[in-house]
Amino acid sequence: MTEQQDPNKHEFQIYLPGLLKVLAESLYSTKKVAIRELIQNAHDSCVRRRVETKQASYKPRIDVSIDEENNTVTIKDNGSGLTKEDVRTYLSTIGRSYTRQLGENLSIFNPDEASQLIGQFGMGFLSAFLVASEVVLTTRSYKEGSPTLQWRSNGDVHYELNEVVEEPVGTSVELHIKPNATFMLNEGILSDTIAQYADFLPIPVYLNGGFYPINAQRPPWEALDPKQATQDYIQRVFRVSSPLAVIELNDQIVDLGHDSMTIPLEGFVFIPPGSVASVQEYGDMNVYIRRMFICERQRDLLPSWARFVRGVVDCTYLQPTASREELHQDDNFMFIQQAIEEQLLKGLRQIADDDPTKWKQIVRGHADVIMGWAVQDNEFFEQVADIVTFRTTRGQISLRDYLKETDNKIYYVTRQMGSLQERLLGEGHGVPVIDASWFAVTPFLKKYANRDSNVELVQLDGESNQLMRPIDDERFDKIAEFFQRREIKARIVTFKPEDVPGIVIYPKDAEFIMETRSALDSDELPGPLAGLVNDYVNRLSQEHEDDLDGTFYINASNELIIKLAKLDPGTGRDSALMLIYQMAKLFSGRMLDNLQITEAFRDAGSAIDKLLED
Amino acid sequence: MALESDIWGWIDDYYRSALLERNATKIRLATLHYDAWKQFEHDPDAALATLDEGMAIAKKLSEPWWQIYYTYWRTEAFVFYVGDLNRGLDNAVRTAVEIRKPEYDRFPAKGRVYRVLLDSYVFRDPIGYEDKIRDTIQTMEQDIPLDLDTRCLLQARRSQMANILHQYDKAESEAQVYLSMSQHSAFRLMHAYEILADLAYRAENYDRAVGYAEEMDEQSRRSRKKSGIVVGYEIRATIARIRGDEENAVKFYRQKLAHEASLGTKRGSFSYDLMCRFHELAGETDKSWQLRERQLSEIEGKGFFHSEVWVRILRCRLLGRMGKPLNEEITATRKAISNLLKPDTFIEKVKRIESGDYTEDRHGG
Repeated sequence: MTEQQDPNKHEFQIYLPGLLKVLAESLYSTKKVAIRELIQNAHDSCVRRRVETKQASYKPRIDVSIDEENNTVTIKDNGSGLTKEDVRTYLSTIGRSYTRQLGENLSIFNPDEASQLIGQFGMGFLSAFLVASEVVLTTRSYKEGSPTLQWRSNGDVHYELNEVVEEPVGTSVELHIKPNATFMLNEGILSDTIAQYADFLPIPVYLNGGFYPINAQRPPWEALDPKQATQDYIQRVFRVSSPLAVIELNDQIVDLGHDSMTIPLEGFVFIPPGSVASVQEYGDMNVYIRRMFICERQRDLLPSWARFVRGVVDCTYLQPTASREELHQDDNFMFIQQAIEEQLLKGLRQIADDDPTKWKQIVRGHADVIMGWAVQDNEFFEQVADIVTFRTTRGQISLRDYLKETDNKIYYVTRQMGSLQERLLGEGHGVPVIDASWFAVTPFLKKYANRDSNVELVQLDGESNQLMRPIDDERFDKIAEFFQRREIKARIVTFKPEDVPGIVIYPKDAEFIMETRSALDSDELPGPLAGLVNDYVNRLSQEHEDDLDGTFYINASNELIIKLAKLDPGTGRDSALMLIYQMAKLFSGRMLDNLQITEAFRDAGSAIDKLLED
Repeated sequence: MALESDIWGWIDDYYRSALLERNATKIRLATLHYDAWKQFEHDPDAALATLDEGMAIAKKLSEPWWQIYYTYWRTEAFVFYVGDLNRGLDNAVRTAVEIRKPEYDRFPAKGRVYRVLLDSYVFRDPIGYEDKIRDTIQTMEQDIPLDLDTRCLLQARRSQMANILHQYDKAESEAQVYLSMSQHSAFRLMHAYEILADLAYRAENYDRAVGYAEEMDEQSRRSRKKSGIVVGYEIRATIARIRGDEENAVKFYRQKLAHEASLGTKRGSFSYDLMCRFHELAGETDKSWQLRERQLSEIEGKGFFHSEVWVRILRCRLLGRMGKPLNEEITATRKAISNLLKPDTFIEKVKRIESGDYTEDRHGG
């Protein structure tokens, strides 16, 4: 049964103005893509002429010109041109692409030529209406006896097609620029746009009749001096003047488990010189497909640990979306990710082996990011473990240098530089304290300590009592008794600096437990959720119950304490001890509420008062 | 009546005003969570670093809502991707306590913070906390403003809780509701199909399980998440092998391997159950054992009390079927059971093993 015979079958009707609106508002993110699409059509047309005519003397070229007076931009090529049938079949049928058809035909016998063709969706030409209120296409096919045709449309449902006065073989597309796209008439903007999209295209593009083409016509890795061209490109495009290293990307065999495939890869990745404030600053690639620029700052192609790396890739296996501003994340995309990762790892390992000085520069310049990676990769960890530097109370230090100063102990705090006491204790011992607030530092330090049994880790927040040495000396019994009688948990220890008579230390969860209990008591959490929170806090409290009020560590090396220990109980000694305790409490700061601060001041005041009386 | 929370409106408004101000730091603040989302599956530690950066920026800009928002995402990372429930639960509780303060009264992600706290208990000890979990879901749905995704996830938990409590018909109908609620998101659909595939597989309704697996695959590709593709192939490979279709079993298994290579997150219990059965059906019990070893190493000591007990029971049964000694594993299982608030069901299962019955309930379910 044919369509006409079946009353239930109907043809789709396309409403062109509506489709153009969708294209303009939804498919493309920038109007500039119109230039890319038209240059790409011009390029494919030139490839077509070369393939189909096989003329050795043929010199393809594309000319772009601005006519500010008439508000037009024209893109002209000396490619194959179009016959009347081509215009009807391909130009005026949405979704049908001559390039795709030619590519499919060529792919069997001339795969190299097929791979030079870019277009495939048959929608690119429509993007002209993003910037133009009217499009006039004038074309003459290279085929013998072909007339010069002029196709004219204002994006409405109709188009005009007329024969006009003979023109040379090729196609010109005249865009009557819309008022909201007049930036296209600016030579600087147009030049940048062409350079961005068509820099690597092998056919020269001339702007406003200039003598030199405005595109480089080849990627840096194909230049006569690829090394220098790549450096220039990095400087020009990424604004990075002295990359630490550049790693070439080449075809790569990817293991699929059951099989393997060769991924055709061109491009490079490079490592910028210094670290940056943000770990996300780098880790992206500019992407080309068959030398046509697709997108910049693509972040998913590089492995996530490689946030200190940037680069450029051209791979024919990448599949652009219809807008050709993004990539389909299909199976090939994932294999390409894998290929890039393998080459990057290989390149970095080679630098580590062949050029240790450069390797050190890389690791130090990107310590934060590299640390995160090393935690996951044992082999890499070994390569960086002694080079990577850490933020400490005395500046950036590598672990190898650090351990020389600390008798094989690593002192660290997980809160940013910890509390005052912890810093004081660390420095009191004459050791720098490592800031482990960055997520990867603690696992890195643990991994480091695990591989060497002589290295000991000391986390100062929560375990700062490790910096104190308990002593058993009856000279201080009376002081201990004094605090015991007042139900103050106190321990006689020695610690540095010796100038400090005592400090109060709380377990790290104490503050949270007290706050949560108070919130639960005041019904500040929604009903059943409060039950879940309560359960957790109860479990947590069990670990610290007798320690929540803090422990007063009395420094037996302190001269004042030694002096007080010699005194008999009495108002003066008792007041001095209370004063020291309250000072230590105030010094610990964060665990005190308003009431406790007032109480501490009151007790301290009363102690001073008694001392004055004595 | 359900209260709605416009979390995306808040993020979008902030992002737009940052754009207007041309403030790159604020723009980063409003977008870093998307970057972390992309990283979760293949590199959860990198995702944590991204979220850390978000927190640091929020702190620098004195944006307490954003600080909490990034803390909330860190909790998600610990619970669902890094596989450290101890840290996840700790984070969840602390965040829930923090947002009680008046400055968070209108914080639009409150529902999410409470939901991830709830999830932490669902993963820790769902039977022990059954009543509190049920009451919390109800309270949240009635009294807390929720965004659509959170509402969907609460529905998913209803299904999962019913499954854990062996109420399979209820689990199926709740999962169907979840599926119908999830049309806004390919990722959610992928998850809904995974739950349905799990239920269908364990009920030996293989045609349906394969259908759901294919849907999962499609939604997984749409949402650019690989885990669904991998589990989809695992379901199809195992069912093909159950049906004696060895050619497809091997084909699907190889496809799973190719996609699995870049997953950096821990695998779910369904995935392990499928692959253990896949190997056991081919007589490769050693490979099944290796998988159970890996599964245990991923959760042991990380606060997944319920899952650890389950894995240990499955290990006991597997050892029994392999004809290997069980005493050590049974002792470890009993020790793990002691962490649970309501251990009776599991003690019964251990007794069954001790009596020599090594058969699985609903294929490891």
